[in-house]
Parts: sequence; C-alpha cells; structure tokens
Amino acid sequence: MHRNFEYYIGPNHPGIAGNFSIKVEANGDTVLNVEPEFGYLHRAFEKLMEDNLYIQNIAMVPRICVPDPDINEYCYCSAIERIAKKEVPERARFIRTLVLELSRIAAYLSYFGGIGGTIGLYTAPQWSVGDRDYILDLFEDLTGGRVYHIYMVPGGVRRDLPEGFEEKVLKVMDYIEERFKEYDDLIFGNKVFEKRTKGVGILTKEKAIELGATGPVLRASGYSYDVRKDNPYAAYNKVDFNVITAEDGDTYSRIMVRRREIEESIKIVRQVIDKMPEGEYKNQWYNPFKFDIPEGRVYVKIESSKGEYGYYFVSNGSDKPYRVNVRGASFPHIVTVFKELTKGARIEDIALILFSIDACPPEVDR
Amino acid sequence: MKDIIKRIKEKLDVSELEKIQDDEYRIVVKLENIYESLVLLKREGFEHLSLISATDWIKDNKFELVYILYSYKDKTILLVSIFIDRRIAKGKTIKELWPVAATYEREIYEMFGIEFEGNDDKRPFILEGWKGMPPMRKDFDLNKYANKKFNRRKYA
Amino acid sequence: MSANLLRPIKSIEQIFRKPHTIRFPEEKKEISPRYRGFHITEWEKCIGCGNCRDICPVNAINMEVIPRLKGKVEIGENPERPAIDYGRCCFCGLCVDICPTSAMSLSQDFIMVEPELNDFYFISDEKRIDKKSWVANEEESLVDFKRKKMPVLSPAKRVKSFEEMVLGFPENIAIAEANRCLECGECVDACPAHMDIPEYIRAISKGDNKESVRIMYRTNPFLMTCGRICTHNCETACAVEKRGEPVAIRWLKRYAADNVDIKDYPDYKVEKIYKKPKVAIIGAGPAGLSAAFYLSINGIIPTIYERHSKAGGMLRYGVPPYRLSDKELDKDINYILSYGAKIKYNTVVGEDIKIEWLLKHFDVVYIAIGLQAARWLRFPNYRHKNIYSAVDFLEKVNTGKKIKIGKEVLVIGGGNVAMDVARSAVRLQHMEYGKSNVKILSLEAMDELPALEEEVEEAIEEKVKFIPRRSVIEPILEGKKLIGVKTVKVTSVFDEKGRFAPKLDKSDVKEYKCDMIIQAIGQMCPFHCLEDIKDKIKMTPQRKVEVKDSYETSVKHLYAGGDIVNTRMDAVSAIATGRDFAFSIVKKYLKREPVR
Repeated sequence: MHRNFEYYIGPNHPGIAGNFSIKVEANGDTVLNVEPEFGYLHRAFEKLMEDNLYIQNIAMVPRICVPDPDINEYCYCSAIERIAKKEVPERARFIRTLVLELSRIAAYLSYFGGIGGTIGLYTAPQWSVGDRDYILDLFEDLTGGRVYHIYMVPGGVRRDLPEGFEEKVLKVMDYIEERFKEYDDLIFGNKVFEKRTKGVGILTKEKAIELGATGPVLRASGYSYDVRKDNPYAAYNKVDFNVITAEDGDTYSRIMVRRREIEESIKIVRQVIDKMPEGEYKNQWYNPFKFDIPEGRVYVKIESSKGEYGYYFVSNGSDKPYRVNVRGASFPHIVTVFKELTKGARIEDIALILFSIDACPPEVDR
Repeated sequence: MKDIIKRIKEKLDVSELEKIQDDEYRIVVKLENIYESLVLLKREGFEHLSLISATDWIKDNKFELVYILYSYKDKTILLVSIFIDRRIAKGKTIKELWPVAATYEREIYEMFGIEFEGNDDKRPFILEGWKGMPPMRKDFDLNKYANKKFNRRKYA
Repeated sequence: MSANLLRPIKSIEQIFRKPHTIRFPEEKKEISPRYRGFHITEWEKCIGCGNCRDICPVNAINMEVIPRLKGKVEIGENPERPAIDYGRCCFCGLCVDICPTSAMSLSQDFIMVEPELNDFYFISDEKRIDKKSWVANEEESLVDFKRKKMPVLSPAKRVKSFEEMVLGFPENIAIAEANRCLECGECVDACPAHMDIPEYIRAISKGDNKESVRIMYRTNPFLMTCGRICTHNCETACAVEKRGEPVAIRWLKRYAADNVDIKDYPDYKVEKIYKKPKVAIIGAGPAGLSAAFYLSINGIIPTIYERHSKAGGMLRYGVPPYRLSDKELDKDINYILSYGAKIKYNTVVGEDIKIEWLLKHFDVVYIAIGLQAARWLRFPNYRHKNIYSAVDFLEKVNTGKKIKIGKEVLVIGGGNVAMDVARSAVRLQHMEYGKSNVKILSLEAMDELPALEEEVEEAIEEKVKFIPRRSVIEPILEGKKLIGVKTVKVTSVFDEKGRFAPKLDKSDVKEYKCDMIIQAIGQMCPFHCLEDIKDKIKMTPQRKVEVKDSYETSVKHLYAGGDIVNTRMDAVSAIATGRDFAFSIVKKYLKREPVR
C-alpha cells in the first residue's frame, strides 16, 4: 500500500536545467502531478527596457537567455527595422545568419552535455564544454565578447568580418563534425541511453499543437514546421537545408532530432561562408540620442534552438520603447507540455523529460 | 490581402484591420465577442496560440489585450486586439480552447491587475510576497522603488 | 545507429590526446584584437563633453572635475574626465562608439584583483595599459561627421549684385542637420550670450520652429541677424568639430527664424508698466536694442537716442546687404520695438543733448554708442579724396549713396571688415564696369589673418587678390591723381609676447597700381558725448570704458555696454552685454527675477 507524498525538486539540483523548482506529488514511484514554480531569475527586463533609449537596450537584451543570446539581439533589432521600414544590406543579413547558426551550434553542444549529466554520464559535459569553447573563441574574434556579444544594431552589425575569419570558421566546423563520431559512441549509441529514453514521455500528434509545443518538440511528434522555412528571415531563404522530423514523439526522438539538426546547422554555416556577398555591413543609423521611430506594433518570431522565440514590440513614436514582451520558447513547454508528459511517469524520468523539452527558466522569468 | 483574411473580415465583427507586413495582420474586436471570435479563428486554421500580451495605455485610460495566433496552413500571424476599460480591468478567459492560456492569464493578473472571468487561479506566478501595485502598469515608478529598497554603493 | 553497451568504451582513447585547456599562467591565451576589456582614456584627446556618461546603459560613468586642468583648457573643452564604476560596467563599448574625439577605447586587459572595494571605481586613463583593442574610426562611429551642404549662389552669379548670397536650408535638410547634434552642451559656454543651443536644435529636429524661436528669445532678440552674420563661436566649440564638420548652428537658427511669421512670435504678457526707474539708452545698435527689449518685456519702457535716421547701428550701416539686408534686420527691430520702446532719431548726444541733462532727468543712462570713427594709417597724403575709410565706404554702400568706384581698388587691412569692403567693391565694379580688380593688402600672412576662414575663402572665390605681409609707406601720385602705392615687406607682426609690434624690411620695396584706396584697419570711439564728464569717467588701459559686473561705470547711474566695453567686438557679445545690463536693472530696482 502506498501513500501520496510531496517532493520538492529544488532550484539547486543536477537534474534541473537552470533555476526553478518542481513540486512533485507521487504515489510510490509513479508521478501523479507536477507543479513547476518560477521566479528565481526574475530581473524585470521588460519594465527596464521602457526607461532606456533604443540603443541602450541592446546592451541589456542578450542577458535574457544565457546559452543562446543572439536570438534576443536579432529579434529586437528586427522589430525596430520592421516598424521603421529600414533596409538591411545583403552582407549584414548573411553575417547575422552566420552568428545565429553558430549560436545554435553552441547551444546544442551544451545541451548534449546536459543530457549526459542527467543520465549520470559525466564525461559528456566535459567534452561538450571544451568543444563549445572553440566556438566562443570564434565569437571573441568577431565581436569582442565571448558569451554576450552585443553585436547587432538596428540597421546591420557593428563591425565587419575580420581578416582570416572565414578560414577559422571552416576549420572549427570540420573539427566539430569529426567529434560527432565520438559523441555517437559515447551517448547516442549507448544502450543505457536508449533504454532510458525510448518510450518515455510520449507527446501524441493530436495534442502537440494545442498544448503549445514548437520547435524540435513539435517536429519530433511528426509535424515538419520550422520558422526558418515557413516565414524566412535574415538570409535563410538563400541557403539550402532540410527540416528534420521523427514519428514517435518520445524522449528519444526529441533528442535525436536535435542531434541531426546540428548537422544541418553546420551545412548552413558552410553555405553562408561560401555565398557571403560583398558590400556594406550596416545601414548606419546615426546619433542615438535623437532616433525616434514611428508608431506601430509588430510581432517578430524566429527559430531558436528551443523553439519559436518571439518579441511583441509596441512603439508610440518617441525615443524609448513603449512595451516589449518576450515570448520565451520554453514557456508553454514547461507549463503545459511538461505536466501532460509526466502523468504516469516514474520519478527518475522527470529529469530526462525536462531535458528533452529543453527547458530554459531565464526565458520564462525574464 | 490574403484570402483567409478576407474570410475573417466577413465572418467576424471587426472594427479595424491593419496589414503590418506580408505575413502579419492585426484586427480589433470587442470584448464581448472575444470567445466566439477565437473559436471561429481556431476552426479557420489558426490553431497555435503564441502569446497573450497586455499593454497599458494610461493616457487613453485603457488596457489592450493582444492574442497572437498563427496558422500553420496559411503561414500567417494574426494579432487579435481588444480594448478594456482601465478602471474595471476585466477580461474573459479562454483556457478551454488552449490550456497554456491559463498561465498567460495568471501572469497578466499578477503584472497588470487584469482579472479574467472564469479563471480563478490568482496564485503569484513570479513575484513572491509582493504587496504593492501591479508592477508593469505605467504609474509604477521602477527607479523610485529601486532607490527606496536597495542601497546604492558609495565609493570613497 | 546501432546501440550497444560496448561503444562508450572507445572513449578511453581520449587519454592519449592533447587537452583543450591552457596551462595558465605559464601559457597565455592569444586574445582577439577586438576584445572588449577595461577602458583606456587619452586625456590629450578627451574634451570632457560627457557623451559617454549620457549613453552608458547602466550609469557606470561619472564625469569628475580634475583640479589641475582647470583654467588650462581651450574653448569647447571641460576640465573633467570620465570615472568608471566597474561594478556596473557591462563592457558593451557604446561609449567608444559615441566618443566624438576617439579618446575612449577598450583594451585587452581583463584581469583585476584588488583587495579594496574602492579600487574598482577610478578615473580612467592610460596608466593601467596602453594597448587598444576595441576602437571606433570615423566609419564605425555613431556620430555623423559630415555636414549637409547649404545652397549658395555661385561666385559668378553673386558678384553681379548685392543679392543675399546664402539661400537657406529646405525643410528636410534642416531636420537632417539638426539630427546630427549630440546635445552635449559644449557650445553653450562658448557662446558669448550663452544661448540654450541643444534645446532649440532639438525643437527644430522635431519640426517645431515656433518652440525653437521661443527658446531663442530667452537669451537673444536678434535671431534673423545672428542667423546670418554671427561669428559662430559655438561651431568652433562643437564636439563634432574635432574630427569632422561642426553642426551648422548658425544656419539652423536662420532656418527657424525665417520660417516663423512675426505674428507667431512669443507673446510676452507685460502685467504692469513701471514709471520708475526711467531709463535712457544712447545708441540704437545691437547692445542698445537688446537692452531695450529685455527692459520692455519686464515693464520698464526706455527712451532711445539715435544719431542716424534709422535704428540698427553697425548692423544696418556696417554689414553689406549680401550678408544681411534691411528687410531681415527690420523684422528683428520691429518685434523689439513692439513692446513700447521709443526711439528719438537724428539726435546726437553731446551736440543736441548734453549727457548731464540726461543724468538729471533719467534714473539710469546706458551708453552703447559703439565705435563709429575710423582709425587712419597716417602716411603722407592720407586725406586724398580717393582714399576712404571703411566705415564711410560701408555706410554709403548700405544707404545706397552713389560712390565713384575706381577701376583698381586696394583695400588695406586683414579683418572681417576688410573682407566686407573688398567684396562690396567687387560688386560695385561689376555693376559699373562688368569686371573687377580688387586687392587686399595686409600686414599678416595668409594663415594669420584675423578674418573668419570662410570669409577669406569666399573672397578668393570672388576673385579678390591677396597681398600678404606688406605695409604701405606712401601713395604714388601723378599730379593730383592717385595711381599706386609703395609698399615694404613685413617680416613679423607679433613679438614673442604676442603683442602687436610689426617689423619692417625697408630694403624690399614693391609698387602696386591702384586708383582707389580703402583703409580698413580698425575703428575707435572719440567719445564726444562724454566730453563734459571726461575727468570723472575711468578707462581701461585698452581705451575701453571700465565697468563693474552690473555694467555701471565709475559715474553713478551711468552704465555702458557694447563695443566700447568689450574686448571681443562682435554683435553677439554686444547683445549679451545689453541683456545682462537689463537684467541687473530689473533685479536692482524691481527687486525680482527678470522675465525672459
């Protein structure tokens, strides 16, 4: 005879991605209900952005999502450009695509480390952190900062590509591709990994869209929707890549979708380097103390490594934003998808399900 | 204008229609019709709810609630906007249509003070032990609050 | 991929690989040449404008006053330098991108270990490290260094008449030019009248010309005039000028004043007209009229005594019409007089009225007569009928009196007045003969000329020839006709202390042909009106009237202002003295703050 117990899986726990706590109600080993609790990382970004000039916000915006900061810079700059109808030159679009894809590869590498850590295979985080460092070195050469780049401005990017940058990027891409064989040996071809993830936490095709899943979570359930193909932005309509899907909708497929998407990202990076056009790297917007944009509203969305990431931006014609609302990609995932998938799961599967949805509390708390 | 937008214009009672860019439109409807309008839109293919957002127009004494929908078939973003009175601040819940809306409404209640009829979940979502006015409203002065609560470090 | 339990064992071969990590501190990592680390500020280039403090997103920069720089800075610079709080700095590099002089840059230094918390807030300089990595050149900077062009009449067209040379900004160019201003405020201190320049430029950039005019009237009532002829000290001090072209402040003032009708000008509500103090102003020039305006809007209506038949002083009788014509000057003067001040024309104080009568019948007397008499170079025959003074010549040009202009004119002098005289002579020659031949002879070399650079350039465009570093000894006469001058070389103009002491080389003699000479070497004031109280009034060693801060002279109730008091003799300084005198009278007699 079992009784119902309440457990707290608190903010400091190796099985939790980031900082948030879960209240678990379980009967023996079977989970009845989970209740996530947020608020540990609230930094009041949306209210702070209303007090600053447009250009002062670009130093603040990347800090909303730590593993993948360029998505914030891109969405913010793109929202301003769409309301003010400002053209972005061709070369700047390609450079922005390059930065977004490198950021996605870095985010996926640290994700693989996280997966290894969840099932107890601590060799994987050691490898992936080391490999991610080569990409951070590339960012340091290009933008001057390793984690927070502060590189995109409304109208383009801040500086041009340095000398010899393209060769360095291609070398790092070759190196990472070779490492995949070793990651496959270590995690993805590991029988223990397969047994722990196959058939766990199935998200059925009928419920996926209603619960609000997007990104790799949705694609693992059988839909082939990707913002880069449906509503293309930056230079994505000029490069060739496949949209990866899977049929089962369980934890194993969600992780393998990401494993195969990183190869597509490397393909995109190679094409961008190959097709990079000459020209201006920004459409300069002088004098930040006096730039006003006209009134308007826009919703900009892009495909981040976690799903659909969007900014709802309202301007009232002055030199400060009126309302900026950030839609974190993992908001619906943690709140509704997570609850649905853990009904009837076992306690040891909670961490794996959470990782497979790729939860990111900084995006939810802002 | 796209076909789907034309169909929507015929079927719903729309007071404003605006094209923001090629694949994004905005319509304004009334508070009383919001539930029926969203049911209709969901049947027309707008099956994905991205976000529910609120804006405080303090000079006009109104709140604006925006429901951001997306149609995978037509690849169009639609912003459905309603205006509610700032002093009454009551909306209608849509948590039966999309389960995630319950949490968006809970966050809007905490940040703006807008109540949703039918959604009684008033637990704090992010803020803990907060006793002041809803902080995202425009009459809440963040600088004053920060200067009162925290000490600015003084260097010699 | 097939999964089995043995595949992970292959990872053991990692043992035999070189590790990624760098053995710090023996090995050092190569840091990128664009890294954003701690700041470097070059104090030589920094002008203390404070733009870095204004743009910092986290308020990490404060401007601290440096005591040893006080008093040693030039115009347009502040004795302040940035101090950075590294507890707040986010290393974004926006301060580098906005710095107009490229004094700020970021370095490759990122390691700082200090035991004291206060060591993390310090005034930034080059002592910690001097290797720059994140810099902003003109292309990358957020400041727009290029000025928008002002449309002007071409030289070939404009020499044919006295039509106004500058055509004025159209609306879109004015707004684009106003958008270049960084609002740092370096110009305010440099302006002799301390006008609120960043505020009125901001109003122009928003399209609100009426608001801009209202802000300008707080400090200066001569907008059409200063918008055309001011010596623009503000533009020399502009922060953008250090690496590019300064914001066109004078042309923006002209744009705003031109585009607002006089009926939309600010409407000052005068609540009460005061009978005391009774104020008399001698001279209706820029200083006198400025004083009259600021007294009138505060309720004190002065009486002005003017020797000419029209008001304006040097603005009307000394500035040629292609720079400032009567129509624009009248718009300014009519608005000033609309508040009640009365002018008694054709009245010379000293002849028609005595100064003692004024001191008896008025509570306050203000002298602003300016420098109406010419200074003469007294070589032999300097009073020949074809040798004119600049003051006389320009007065005839401005009143339309006929001048028999010579075929070859020689102008002596190197200042702004000499340029005005020469260019007017060019136009008169074109109107009379169809071609021009004007030479300017000066003691100074071309790069030492006291005239504004743009005046010299425009004179060269109009085909005026310059003869620098020569001095006239005597004119050459053939019977009674003037046919040329004899000149000698000048080796230096100023001595080591910077005083005016020209040295001549009498062995190098050259002759030049001319049939008309105009002397434009300076002006002075004979002070006829002060004849009766000559012993009581105190003068400075430079022959100017000595005044206190309130502009009162050594004679009680007698005040003075304008060119007879200032060492910097231009219109805007005179306007500033008139305004400050008016405010001091309001504070002293009405015991309240003046209305502006």
